[in-house]
Amino acid sequence: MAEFEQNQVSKTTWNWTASEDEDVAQKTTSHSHKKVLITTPIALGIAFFVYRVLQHTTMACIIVGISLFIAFSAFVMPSVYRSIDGFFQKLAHWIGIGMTWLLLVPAFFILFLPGRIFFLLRGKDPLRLKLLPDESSYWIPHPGVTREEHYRRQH
Amino acid sequence: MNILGISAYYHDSAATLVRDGKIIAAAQEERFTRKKHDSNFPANAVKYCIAEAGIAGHELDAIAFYDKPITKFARILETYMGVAPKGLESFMMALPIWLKEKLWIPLQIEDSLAECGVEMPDNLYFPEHHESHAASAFYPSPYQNAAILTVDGVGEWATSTIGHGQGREIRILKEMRFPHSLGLLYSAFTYFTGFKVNSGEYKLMGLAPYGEPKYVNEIYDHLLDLRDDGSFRLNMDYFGYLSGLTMTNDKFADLFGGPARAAESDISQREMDLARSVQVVTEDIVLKMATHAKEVTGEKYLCLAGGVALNCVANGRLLREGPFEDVWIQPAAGDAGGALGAALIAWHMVEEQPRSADNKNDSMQGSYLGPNYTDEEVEAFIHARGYKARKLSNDEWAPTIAKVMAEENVVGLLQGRMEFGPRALGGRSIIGDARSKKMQSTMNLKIKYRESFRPFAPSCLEERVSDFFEQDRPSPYMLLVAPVKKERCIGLESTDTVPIRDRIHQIRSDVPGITHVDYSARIQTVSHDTNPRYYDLIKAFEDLTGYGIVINTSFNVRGEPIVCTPEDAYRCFMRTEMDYLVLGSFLLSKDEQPEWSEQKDWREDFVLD
Repeated sequence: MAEFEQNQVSKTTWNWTASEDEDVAQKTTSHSHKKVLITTPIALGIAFFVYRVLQHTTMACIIVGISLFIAFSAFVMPSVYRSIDGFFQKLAHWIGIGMTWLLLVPAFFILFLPGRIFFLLRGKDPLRLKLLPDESSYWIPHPGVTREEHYRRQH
Repeated sequence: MNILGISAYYHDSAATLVRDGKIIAAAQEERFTRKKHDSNFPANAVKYCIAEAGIAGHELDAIAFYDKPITKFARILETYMGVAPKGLESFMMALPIWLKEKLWIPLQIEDSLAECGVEMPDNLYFPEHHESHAASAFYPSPYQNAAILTVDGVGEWATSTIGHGQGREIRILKEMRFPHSLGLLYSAFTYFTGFKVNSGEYKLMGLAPYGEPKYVNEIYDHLLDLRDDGSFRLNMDYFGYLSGLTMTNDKFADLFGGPARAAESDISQREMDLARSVQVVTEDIVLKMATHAKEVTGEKYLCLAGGVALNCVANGRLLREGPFEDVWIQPAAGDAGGALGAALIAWHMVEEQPRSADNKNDSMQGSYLGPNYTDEEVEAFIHARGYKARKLSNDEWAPTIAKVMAEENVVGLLQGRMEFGPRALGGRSIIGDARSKKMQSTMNLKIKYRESFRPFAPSCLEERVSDFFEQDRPSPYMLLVAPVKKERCIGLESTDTVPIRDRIHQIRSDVPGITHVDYSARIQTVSHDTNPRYYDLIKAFEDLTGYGIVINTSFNVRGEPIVCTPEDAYRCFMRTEMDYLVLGSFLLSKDEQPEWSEQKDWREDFVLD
């Protein structure tokens, strides 16, 4: 059968001519290589800082050792690298969640509780929760704005 | 002028490309990523639209995003202000996502487009969420002038709107605001009956005929305060979605005699009665809203969009009992269709370009707006993978497939462009013989792996619709439910004596595969103009059997997005007990295929909906 060439729509939506497994494996490998090429120099920089500024040789050696091992595993032992990477990702995730709660819980009470108390004291109903037996309709008129400026704004 | 419409970051993200007012392409991201209701930036759908339009990455003139993110954010903050100190858990879930991506939509779009190789144009528009819905309903409709009704969960603040479309102009006249929402009321019952919110609503609708409307009074007396014009306020004492992570609360459970049904547990009569009751209330409210829209606009026609517009039982009742001469419903009525509406607003409202409509034909092109794959490509794919297939000539295509269907085989059908919207309309469908007594249970349990109560829909020749159903007009997008013709029904006279639940396995008509337990059907009419091949197939089936009607269900299994490519279709075909697969002009028999094996259980790929 003659060589078949995909059209643009098909190339964009259905890349069946390339092996999916190979494609994913290639992307993953290339991604992990890029990652260690960025993180290893940063870790070595930190080690240098620890050694020169903090004058802590042992800690600097540990950092260098760990970072070089991770870099080595990314190129030579991908499965080991995946485990290490997975561990750090989980750790980062949980640190992120902890930080989020630490920052946002006070923010929630500082921002919203006074506002709520203010509305209650003023007898306001910002969410229109009250039922209105005397009103014949709950429809609200819409301003019906159609100027270009209306469509350019995000609000 | 090329305008890209985008909906994203909530659910059902999608992209569409409109060129000089004509819809060139539209697709949902889930079809490409194979992740149901994918809400991420629709990068694959954007790339597809650009490719389908045959333009380069720098040739976009404008982008229209389907809502106003800052207004939506303000609504969320105001909601917390209204419920604090409650709402902390919901706030902790919502805020990080907003801070990370949803507040920076222009930057997100620019970055994501850059990854797609597309240059950001100077013009970026943000119509309101319900304006986008209204535009998706009115602009592609056949009508020069029409009333517009949009009803969904919530956009920025609006939950329902009444609008007026005249020529190229749309004006939103009235709105109802969050938290008072018909969509969210329906979702609350979806949650309470054990189905997934934002995807299980259609199951609740399918369950409704098995129940009795026992709880209608409870709903009206306790849950909402309804006015004659269809507007209402919900009694938020019974709902959890303002401040919590659940749709309903303990008070709601007390009202309906116990806690919410656990997902995947047995469905009891209570769930069926609740489904029926909320369905009745929904239909009543939609009818009242539509009647008010008629009073306000004075128009003869109605255009409908928003998630609630996918409630085809309510749509059918609106058509039969409502005040309008005709109703047109956007086939992608949910958020995906917002991408289309946004792009059309940019063209007609911002660019002030005229619109033509003949009061007869819509401009959705049958909703076949997705990718198509040529026979040459299918042949190359089949050959490369070593699959066995038979190429059918144009003359033998329809009669051959009709013959295997008449022998009670289940056929997967992939031909032509993929559909835009949640319904499979003969481009990516599983089809079978509607006369077969075993077809409904076979398809539910062996092909779709889903609940046995779920009904199947018919595709029938447009000119035969009134032979089979109490309906006198086309329903090309499967968005109207109508009764099966009385003379075709069996046992209709005994419906008062046999409990409706016991009728599930009874033969209810001479087309039992598509006759629901209440003798109704969700109809798709097929015309030669929009899908000639599918039309020819049903015609060939009619020539063979005397019945111009087939079962049509979406080409997927439970939890899986509808297939997009021939490869998706083949995979789904081999994983299920389908008998034949049609890929363009090629017919594949299951018996002749090489042995299929997968390294892991494929069911793990899909989250049950």
